Amino acid sequence: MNIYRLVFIFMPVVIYMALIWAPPAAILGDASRILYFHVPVAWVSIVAFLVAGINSIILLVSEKNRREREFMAHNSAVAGMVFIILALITGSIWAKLSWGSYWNWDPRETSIVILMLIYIAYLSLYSSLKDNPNRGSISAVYLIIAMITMPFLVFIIPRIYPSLHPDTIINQERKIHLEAAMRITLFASIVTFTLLYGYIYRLMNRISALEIKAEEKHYDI
Amino acid sequence: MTSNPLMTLMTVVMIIWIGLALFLYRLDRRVSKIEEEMNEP
Repeated sequence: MNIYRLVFIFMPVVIYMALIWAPPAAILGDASRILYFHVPVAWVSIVAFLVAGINSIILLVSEKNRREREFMAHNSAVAGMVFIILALITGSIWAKLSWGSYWNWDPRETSIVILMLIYIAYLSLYSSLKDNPNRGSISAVYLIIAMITMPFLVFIIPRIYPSLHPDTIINQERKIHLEAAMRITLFASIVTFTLLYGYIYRLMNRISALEIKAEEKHYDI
Repeated sequence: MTSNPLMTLMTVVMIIWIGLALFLYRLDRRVSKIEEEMNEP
């Protein structure tokens, strides 16, 4: 049984919890409910970029299934790109509600845009190497370097410079500044969005495997 | 529909999710079918 199918049951529950069950935050009010969608999509984009980097390392180290690994790394980077765009849009809406402007060039916003540009560069590199036999290895090296920059852009830079962005999950006091119901909803949402990513990623990989098979069959004939 | 705007919002989001879930599930089934066909000798 495919565990990722649980997303079909979990997602309606999370939507109910996020919009009805969880209480509104003290100052932000109901606008704070964006939290249950913005944080999970941002989290999933980081997971997806990590998976892309790990697959790239395996591709360079191991000799087996190189073509499958290439697709697996690429698919995860593409999925991560979709989720990071969603995080940027939801974050921008939230910024308008709490800071008064859709875009403030806050260190958090700027660093995420830089991260996005790094992965846009990857996508153009990958598509430009279409006829290159070393496409897999070259793009794997790039993805590993991109993965190394990620912790700096996501966790370090926004904490070095003064930022308006709250650090409710990872902060200096090492405590989560959320009520119990809000915390449960947030974690349920993170799990559900991770399952959604897993489901989509698995589907993408299966389609890629079919493409490889179809190509091989084509050459056999 | 109801006096609580959050309830209306939840209904709308739920309908969108059901639509997306059906689409994803159908896509999954189609891929499984093609996989079966490809694995046949």
